[in-house]
Amino acid sequence: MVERNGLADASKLVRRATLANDPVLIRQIDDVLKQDGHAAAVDELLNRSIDNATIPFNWADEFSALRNYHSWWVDRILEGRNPVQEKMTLFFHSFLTSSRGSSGGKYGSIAQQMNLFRRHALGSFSDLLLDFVKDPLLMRFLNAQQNVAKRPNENLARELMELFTTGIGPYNETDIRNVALAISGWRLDNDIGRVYYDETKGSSESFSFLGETRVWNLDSVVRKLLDHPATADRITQMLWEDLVGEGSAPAGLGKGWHDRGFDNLWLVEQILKSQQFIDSNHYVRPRTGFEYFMNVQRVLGFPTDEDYRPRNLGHLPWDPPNVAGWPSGERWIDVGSILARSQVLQYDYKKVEGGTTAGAEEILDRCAIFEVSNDTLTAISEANNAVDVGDAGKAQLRWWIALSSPEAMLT
Amino acid sequence: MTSQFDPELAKKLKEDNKRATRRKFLMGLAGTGAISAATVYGITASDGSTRSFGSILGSPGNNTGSTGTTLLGGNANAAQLPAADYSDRILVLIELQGGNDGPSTVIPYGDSAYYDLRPNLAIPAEEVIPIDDQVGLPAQFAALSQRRFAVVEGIGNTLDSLSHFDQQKLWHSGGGGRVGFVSQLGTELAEKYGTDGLVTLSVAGYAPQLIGADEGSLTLSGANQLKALTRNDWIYPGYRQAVTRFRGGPLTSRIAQSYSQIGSIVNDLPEDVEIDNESRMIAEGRQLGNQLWVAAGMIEAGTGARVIHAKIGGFDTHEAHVSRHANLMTQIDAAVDGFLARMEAAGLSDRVLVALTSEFGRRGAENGGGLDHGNGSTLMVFGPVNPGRHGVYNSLSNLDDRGNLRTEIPYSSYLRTLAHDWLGAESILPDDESITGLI
Repeated sequence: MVERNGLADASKLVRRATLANDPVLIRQIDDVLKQDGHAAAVDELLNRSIDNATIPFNWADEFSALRNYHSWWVDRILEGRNPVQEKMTLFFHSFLTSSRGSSGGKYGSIAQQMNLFRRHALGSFSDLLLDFVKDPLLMRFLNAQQNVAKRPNENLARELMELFTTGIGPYNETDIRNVALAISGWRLDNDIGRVYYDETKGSSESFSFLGETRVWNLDSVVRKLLDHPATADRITQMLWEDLVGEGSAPAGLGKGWHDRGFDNLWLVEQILKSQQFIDSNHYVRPRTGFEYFMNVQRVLGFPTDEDYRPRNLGHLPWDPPNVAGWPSGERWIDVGSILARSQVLQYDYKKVEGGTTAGAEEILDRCAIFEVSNDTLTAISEANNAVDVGDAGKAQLRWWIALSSPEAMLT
Repeated sequence: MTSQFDPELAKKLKEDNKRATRRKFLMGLAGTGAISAATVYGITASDGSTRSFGSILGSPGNNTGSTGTTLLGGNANAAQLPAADYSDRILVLIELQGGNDGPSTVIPYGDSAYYDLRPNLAIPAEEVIPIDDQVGLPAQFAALSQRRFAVVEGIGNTLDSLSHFDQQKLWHSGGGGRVGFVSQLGTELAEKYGTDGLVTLSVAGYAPQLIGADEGSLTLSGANQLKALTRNDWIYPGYRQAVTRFRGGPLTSRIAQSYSQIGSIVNDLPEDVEIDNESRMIAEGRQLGNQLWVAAGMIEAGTGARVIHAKIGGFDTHEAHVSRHANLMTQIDAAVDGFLARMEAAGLSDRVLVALTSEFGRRGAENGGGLDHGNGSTLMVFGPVNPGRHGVYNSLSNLDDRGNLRTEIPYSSYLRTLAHDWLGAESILPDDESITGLI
């Protein structure tokens, strides 16, 4: 492995903790890193005001508005006011899912949920979850508004436990039935997006849940699940794997997060400042589809309202493949996903600055590759040997190789 | 009915086949009429009469009798024996994602419990295409009911959990481990038949079943992906060469391997994947029709894929079950019938089996306009199967104490049957018994 321009450590931090992976930000962080050390560099990244802007929408927006919401968010990510906030938005959405297909024709509900995630991304996970379970899009996605005491619908109860909090283990099928009853009665007027509780449709039977017997309701069930250690531990581990790429979160980290009211900013800070993060190798896990996409987006500059690329990569936000959202890990590297990623690189390179002229050094800088293997360097330089190809073609080939390299596929 | 598998013979036939190009071989086979004449597969009923199951006794509403001897609809004389050579067989798995309701697919219109438990959702008897006086197919299976098929009843999971993901993980991992069922199968087939090329293919765009595949697996999410790969001009060859040079740890190797597999598949790709949007297969088959169109093209071009996965979502019908399920049945009918017609035209009917899968069933009683997750279900297989009813009829009068249809036959047995009896794979799901008589 070769380090370029002394930027390897700073680039690892920015690449893992942000979506845009901006070389300008990398240099900024590197200045602090070199001068004041790693912890100060993390502070530089995290100590920014929360971006309170929201996606503008009307509740009754039509399908065509989705591209505008997507475009708004991609532009925001590229702008980078609070890069970690955008990263954490995606993180929470990866397992707290809803689908754009569940809007019931009111596509503004998607923008509303996107705004919800951005609002709480660096706030409190407990606030996020308590709001999420009453979000209209989520309610439609998991049939919550059809869950009435006379005919309980178990969908939300099941996924609340399996996907949003503890994961499988602490509860059983009986708990799911009981919880479904306990949280029944929440209604949605989808014409206007009004969520309200109708006690005539709900239930107030007492039952035992996770060791406590009482009359349960939606809020108390959520709080009880949040209190269960498995919730904090599970989600902490997920974030650990995302940021550190390997290994287990230290014992007690989940509890620390729980005890601080699920302060997301604190949790991110602990992980990024940890020795394990500092020691982690550069390219330990595959980039997810959206991570890969955002880097290429930043480099090549596609029109931001074109959402077919992340969809083809299997990772268009708010368009999950199934209820569980998006998994992480090796799944992102296989013949099909590599093929799909190659497709994304097919573009008119005359529209890209240096697209038909740039040399290897400039390309690696622009792709924010500051730790690179000799094989990749060789592969890029061999573009010069391409037969029956002019200089413009060779430059484009260099771009393709750089963005197809392990350094581009992994993080 | 299946010959004893002879690995040496299979290998020799395989090598013989490689001497001609695959495409020529297939076309030649179709031309010589090597497809066998009809055989009627009968089953002796308990009253001693021989019934020809898998035949459809006329149009919906004809539920007067079950001793008809009508042969399979359509061209009865084209009933196919399976190709003797395991190495030429192909398995197409269609995943019905979300948990397909068995009683809506193989409808127990002869059971009053069906109507008692589902006053709003049960399909009226006059809308059912009868198989016999007990069960029938939905009216939307107008085309498929005319083809050769088997229904497999009483399939279910043995897990306690009715979570989508537990069940999916089971079938994705073929009984355990992190490697998916299709991948395990593909790995074994690759070893058996010594192929370097494509073995497993998903045309569904996202296939956890293929996670962990070592060799020859490809996931496609549309016909356009194929077109871009077939270029051999300009910087494409240089690109394909460059990206196979990456070396490094396991993840990097995985990347390089993926690129190199893409390269080796390129040569076999079909030249033309223009989709006919006017055809019923696409117009009514929709996404599944599109997927199977690509699959048909990949098979016709002889790309070597032995296990092909497609997917149709929407089966998690917690609400609006009647209309949603009917739409899905129409899609399946149009897509699968169109696909089988393509296989017939290519002379491949004797070697392509289409099997439906789903992570679980749905509950016996209705719940409002929908159905909760359940257990026991019924699946179907099309192509060179022993036609008729297989498995164990699990009745809505015999629900378990959670209100679920029972598991009479574990799902893993169904998968074992497809892997072992149809494809000749030995090592996958070895502790499960096949469903005898299905293949």
